[in-house]
Amino acid sequence: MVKERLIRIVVAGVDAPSMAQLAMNAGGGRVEAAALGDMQGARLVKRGQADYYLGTCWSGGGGALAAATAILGANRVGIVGTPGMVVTQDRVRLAVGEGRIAFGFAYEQTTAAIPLIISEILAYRDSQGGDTDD
Amino acid sequence: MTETSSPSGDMQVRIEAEFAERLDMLEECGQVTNLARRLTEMCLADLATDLDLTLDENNAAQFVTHLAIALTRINRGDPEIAMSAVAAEEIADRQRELDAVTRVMGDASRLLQREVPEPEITYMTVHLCALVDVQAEPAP
Repeated sequence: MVKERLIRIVVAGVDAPSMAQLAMNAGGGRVEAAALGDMQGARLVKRGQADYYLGTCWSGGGGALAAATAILGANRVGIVGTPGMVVTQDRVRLAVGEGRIAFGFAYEQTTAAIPLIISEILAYRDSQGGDTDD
Repeated sequence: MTETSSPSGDMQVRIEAEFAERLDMLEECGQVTNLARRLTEMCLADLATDLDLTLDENNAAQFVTHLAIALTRINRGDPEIAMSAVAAEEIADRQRELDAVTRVMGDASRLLQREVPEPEITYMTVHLCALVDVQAEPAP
């Protein structure tokens, strides 16, 4: 029996506990999410103990992903929304498809951004054959 | 900016030690300039003294990172970031915190030799208000 492994997401930034709950709700039972400090969360991803990092700040313009950028590297992170840049499915899909594993956006975009990001991660994982505990 | 022998100067020594790991990391990877880092430390010390705040990694990490990144944007002359109506609404009745941020950014702008744009002041104030509100809550 092959069991699908939950996708492990860490969330950091403004109102992180609510973000984590939103991520789990959007994941339909395929996602577990935890609210952590930004450096702690990024280090878990770096060590392979979490799969993805979501970060918010008010401006979306740097603080959301500053620690993740330092710890994971600029080519693994992507800002997908700011108050002047709407979060779109195309932008999220491109970032996920490029292999980026940390996503930042403005706090006010949380309710739109998180379901989109989770949906694209799940679709990407499915296209890659999924994750299994076997 | 205050001298290092002042109460704010003593605070700055504590601030530098508390956030050294975070600011070292951000500066070493090039996300934060040295000038922005030093200004971040000075501004934090001034705000903590002015508003009687205790800042540490547990409660102020987001604010510290935001401040350092924002001051770096200004230091580097990056394009001005967009204003958020949501953020502006959040601070509509927070004149004390807005005045405190505006004052320390006045000092910072002289050293940066650049104006600090209004959206940056607004985002800094939102972060500061969150800190003030948490510290105003009664202890459990």
